[in-house]
Amino acid sequence: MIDIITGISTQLGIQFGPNGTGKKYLSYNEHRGNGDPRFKSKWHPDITPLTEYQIFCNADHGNWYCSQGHYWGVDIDNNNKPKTLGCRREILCKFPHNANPSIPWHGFPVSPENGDNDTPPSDFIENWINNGVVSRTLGRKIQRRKV
Amino acid sequence: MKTVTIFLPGVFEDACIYMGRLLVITAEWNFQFYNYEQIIQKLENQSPRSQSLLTYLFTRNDWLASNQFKALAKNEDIRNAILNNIDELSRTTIELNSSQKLDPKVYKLGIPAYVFLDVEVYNQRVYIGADTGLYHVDFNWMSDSVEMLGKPQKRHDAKSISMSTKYGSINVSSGDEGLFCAFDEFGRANSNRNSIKKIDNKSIRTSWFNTDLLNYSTSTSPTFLCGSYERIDYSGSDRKSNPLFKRESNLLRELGTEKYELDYLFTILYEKESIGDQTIQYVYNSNGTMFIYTFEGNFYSIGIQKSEGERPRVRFTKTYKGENTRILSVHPSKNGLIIETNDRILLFANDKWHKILDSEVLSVRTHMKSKRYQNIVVNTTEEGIYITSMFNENEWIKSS
Repeated sequence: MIDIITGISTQLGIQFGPNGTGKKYLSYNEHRGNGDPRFKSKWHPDITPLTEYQIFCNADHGNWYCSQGHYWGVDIDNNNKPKTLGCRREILCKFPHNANPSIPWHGFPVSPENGDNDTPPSDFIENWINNGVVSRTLGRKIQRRKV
Repeated sequence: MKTVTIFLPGVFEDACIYMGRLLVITAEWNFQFYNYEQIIQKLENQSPRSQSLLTYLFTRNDWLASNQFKALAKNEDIRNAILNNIDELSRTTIELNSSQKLDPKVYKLGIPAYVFLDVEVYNQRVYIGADTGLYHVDFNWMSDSVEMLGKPQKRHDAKSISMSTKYGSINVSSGDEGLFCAFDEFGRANSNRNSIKKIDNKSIRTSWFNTDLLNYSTSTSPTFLCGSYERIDYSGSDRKSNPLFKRESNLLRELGTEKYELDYLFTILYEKESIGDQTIQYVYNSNGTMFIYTFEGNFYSIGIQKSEGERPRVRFTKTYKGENTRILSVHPSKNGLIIETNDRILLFANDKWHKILDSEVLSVRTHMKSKRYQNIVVNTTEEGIYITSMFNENEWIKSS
């Protein structure tokens, strides 16, 4: 199945999907400048709602989920460098576990230096390194909470 | 500031210098011990023009700081010869000829972990912070080949993201599981060894602030933890049994007897410099000073004073020109602050930025507490290990 990339505007944000695995996705307004900056991380203006959805689809197609069922995303450019995803220069994002298929998935930029909830598990990062998703250097920076 | 760099190619994770050895952590999380002084000797033999200078730069930084070396700068001919030679060495990265064989001693540690998050050598003991906990292993550094004394011991179950050591103690940052401290690690006060106490609820790193500790729950949120100490008398036989054992006269007995979240100190920057609390990207401290870096690339320092029973207060603030980059980690060195950014390693010294390495790195190690290696930065990259010596030529000339 092909990912449907046309977004529908809703009160909460722009909804996409279903994608190739049947998941719907909501790009939340509250992670786009309308939320309280102290509590909600925000996507960088360069990351459009469609790009955000595509990062989610990459994570979904790549099976980038950890043992807790969260999907994690990263967007690597042509020079093998991570793109900035968040307003606080975050380079990682998280799509929290969603067990209910009728509810769309959502995501937001995270920084491992903020805590365990914002850090993918070490074994997950090892898989990313071994599968060439991220370089060993970037993987270690994530594991060591430097980014 | 001049920098001279040596490169050792290979697939490594981390490296540091300790007691004449280059301790290297391999991609399989094993230890390799290289005879560091022998490496420098081989490099000197390789290029006769660098004879003895590489020794000063890489293995005897205490000689560089000596009055004898300072006196040499008085003679213009000698001074120019040394400066020209260092200048020449600084132009290229020095590599060992491929014919030169290094024969490291290898130890398989067998620690069940995906990743070593931090490694710290303290009092000849190697501490390993891993995703599966904290471990330590002892070595006899005085034997020719560095002998491992027993197997690694697991000390703590929580992931160990980073560590700091001093005053007989080790502080372990375990993320949301908290900050833990093991006091009297070497049994100086014959107290209950091997026990670890929880000090704070969240920690990603810690840094000493004179005899107190700053705990960072995030990269921008420091908490001040007061330490209390016991004076130790070393007149016993300890020195005889191991003359190289570090003897610190203060032994940390408690941490956090007074505790202050330090966010309020930044208010002065919000008012004076018109920066917002959301713009702070990274905070670091040395003894007595905090350094604050913003997303806009502004760089500030706040001098801090602490009297007993009172919360820390601002003594001074200073503004510097920053670099437009994101700071990932900061390491103290004798020459200034070594700053890891996304794609470079920089030295910030005397209000100026100097480039140390134009590459992203796996790890950065400085040797602030060392006598012989205090000017050395060891950077491990995916290509190998870069060992850089920093030489402040202006200070040398001025001091003569």
